[in-house]
Amino acid sequence: MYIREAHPTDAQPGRDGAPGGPRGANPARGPDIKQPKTLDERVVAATKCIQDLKLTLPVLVDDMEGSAEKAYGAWPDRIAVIDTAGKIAYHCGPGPRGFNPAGAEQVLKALLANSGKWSPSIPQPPEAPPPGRPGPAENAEKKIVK
Amino acid sequence: MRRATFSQTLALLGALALGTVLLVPAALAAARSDGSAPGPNTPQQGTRRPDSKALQPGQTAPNFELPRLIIEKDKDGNAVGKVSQERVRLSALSGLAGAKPVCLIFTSYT
Repeated sequence: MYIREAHPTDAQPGRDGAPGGPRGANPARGPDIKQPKTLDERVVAATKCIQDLKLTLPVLVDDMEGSAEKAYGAWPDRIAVIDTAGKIAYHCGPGPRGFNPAGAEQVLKALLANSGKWSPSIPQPPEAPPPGRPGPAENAEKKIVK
Repeated sequence: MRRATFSQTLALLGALALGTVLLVPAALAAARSDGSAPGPNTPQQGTRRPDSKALQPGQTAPNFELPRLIIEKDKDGNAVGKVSQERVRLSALSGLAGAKPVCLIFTSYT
């Protein structure tokens, strides 16, 4: 799910909550994306993200009120696994440090072995390993999509 | 009542300080020895701040209804994104025959 940008080039201290700033012509410093102010701008940014990262997962776009982002405490990035009864099975820590695709994979496998239903006997993964991973979206898709 | 001398007062304060140093860690260790283990979102000392927005396993997932992103090609072959008219409702994905668990990955590009 595409939500608010974490490090837009027009980031303002106190508004976006994370450092950003101009990338110039150096792509190694990240994509040149401003914080979308309309849903149309958000769609353009999400499309660029999908194209550049070659993502194949179905993508939803959060509304401009950030309804899903707020409900799941999802900014700047996060993973939630939901069982077939609509219950939370796993909610990793907030990114970047808490972002844990391996934990989500572990819980998904446990759910599938339990008819898709969460139960208290399904162990919760430990906290995410130390940083040094690829970018969130790339890493999550590589880990989860088989 | 006899007034304490300066050296007696100093000794008393020293004993209190020593007791605090020795007893507080012991009390904390005793509190941890009740068999409870920190949960996945429980902050470890010196690692990270408390996660006040953590959702707990077993609770009903917050529902949402959002559009799906569709990517089409324009007449020049360039990718153009648009949102679908049909909206995806999380609660509609569960409880159905053949339903599968859902994994939500929240992220942005930057």
